[in-house]
Amino acid sequence: MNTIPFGPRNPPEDPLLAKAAELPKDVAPPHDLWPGIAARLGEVEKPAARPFRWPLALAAGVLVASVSALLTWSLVRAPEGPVPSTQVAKTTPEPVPTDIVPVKYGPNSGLSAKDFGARDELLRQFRGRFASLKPETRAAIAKNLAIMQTAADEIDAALAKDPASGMLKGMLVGTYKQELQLYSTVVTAGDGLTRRI
Amino acid sequence: MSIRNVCLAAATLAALAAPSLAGAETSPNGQPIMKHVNVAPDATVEVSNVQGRVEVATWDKNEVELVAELESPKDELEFEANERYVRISVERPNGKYRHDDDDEDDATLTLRVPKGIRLIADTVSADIAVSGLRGEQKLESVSGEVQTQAFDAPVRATSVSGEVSVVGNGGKATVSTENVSGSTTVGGIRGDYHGEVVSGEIRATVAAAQKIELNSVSGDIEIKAELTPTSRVNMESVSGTLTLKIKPPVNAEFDVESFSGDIDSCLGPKAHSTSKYTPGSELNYTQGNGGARVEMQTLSGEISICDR
Repeated sequence: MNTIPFGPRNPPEDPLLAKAAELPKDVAPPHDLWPGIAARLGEVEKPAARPFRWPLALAAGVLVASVSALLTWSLVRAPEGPVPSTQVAKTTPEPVPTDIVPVKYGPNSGLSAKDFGARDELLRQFRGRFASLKPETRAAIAKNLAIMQTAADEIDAALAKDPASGMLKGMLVGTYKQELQLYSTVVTAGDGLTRRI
Repeated sequence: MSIRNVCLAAATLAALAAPSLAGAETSPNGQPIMKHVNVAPDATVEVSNVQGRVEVATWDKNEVELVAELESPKDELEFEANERYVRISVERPNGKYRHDDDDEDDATLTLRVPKGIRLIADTVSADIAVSGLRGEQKLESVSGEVQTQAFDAPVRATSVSGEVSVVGNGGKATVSTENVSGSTTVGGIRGDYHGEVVSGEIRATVAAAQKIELNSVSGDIEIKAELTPTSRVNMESVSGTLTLKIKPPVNAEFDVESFSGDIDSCLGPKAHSTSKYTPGSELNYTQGNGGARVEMQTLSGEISICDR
């Protein structure tokens, strides 16, 4: 059995090092490896790959900016306050919603079927009351559910980039709770003793 | 089962066990219906209305007085009472609410109650206004405004699209507000404050609270706070702007983070990037002697902190 002694070695006395010293100093690879390395770096974020930091950061920034812009656009296009009279004359009244679209939570939400089961039961009761509300209240509810949907989508997109973020998970759960609270408030309103406490 | 549920169950059992004044009546000639009942100073009063107004004021008598003005001849007033529990409810035929904008079918309930009662009021589109009540309050409306005062007992005020306003009177009441698209104004409270909003805004002034928790989806939140060494502030929004103005001197630890929004603080260092690959930023520092703890988080909303 060959043994390799520990400690500093003197190349001329070490047969292994002596053999290594006989190898050619410059060995060209059979082909250019760099394109393959670059392609793999492109597949997975490599924090240490300094030359590729700025494109990744730019892409992330563009993505977040796009989502923010979409959110802003969706909010801006539905004016909340009084609009100038010139616009009033041109726009037709928005149809009063007769039903609502519940918030859909993306694949990164972590919400379970049990969570949605509880919501669906509340939603069923909510729908029984929704049609009897004033038109402007129905419109406000539908609009705010759309806002929650935008928020849920935005959080889900962020969670896809940072799945371990407690902050994002907390925000998503908070949005879900706000949705349930909205349904609950309507369901229990004017209900006398049947209300929740 | 929560303490509140136990209390309500006890009150309900008491209502069933004791002789009570109960009945339903209409107001065919539009004349006000008046009711009087003697109650314990800490009785529970529940009021339910659909459209119109619920107005509650206090007096020094251990009596509940109700004046009900029912503009629709179809509305029915239900009044059920004993010493510990009073229930007042306006019922609409078939449970249907009116959709039109006229106010001809308003039902206005005006109450005078002992200062220490526990009040539970909920409405669909009727406004709720309470003044001078020292007991616990739970006020909830879908589209009506909710206005009240806070003293030492807990106050919970909720509206989906109506405005919510709570004015403190120097007591240490725990105040909780929930709103969807309406705005919330809370002023002059010295107890804990928990506020939630979706797209509406919250404007609050809080002094010496132990715990302040504020959340929004897209609505802006602005709070002026005087912090104690044990204060805990937590503000969170998805895309709304969070503004915290702290009365100097500021002695607090700050833990502030935004996924893509800007962080601007006139205290301590500037925010720094959380990652080289995302636009996120964070800010962690201790101002003064520390003590109080402030946590603020947004996804895309801006964050602003200052002492003026």
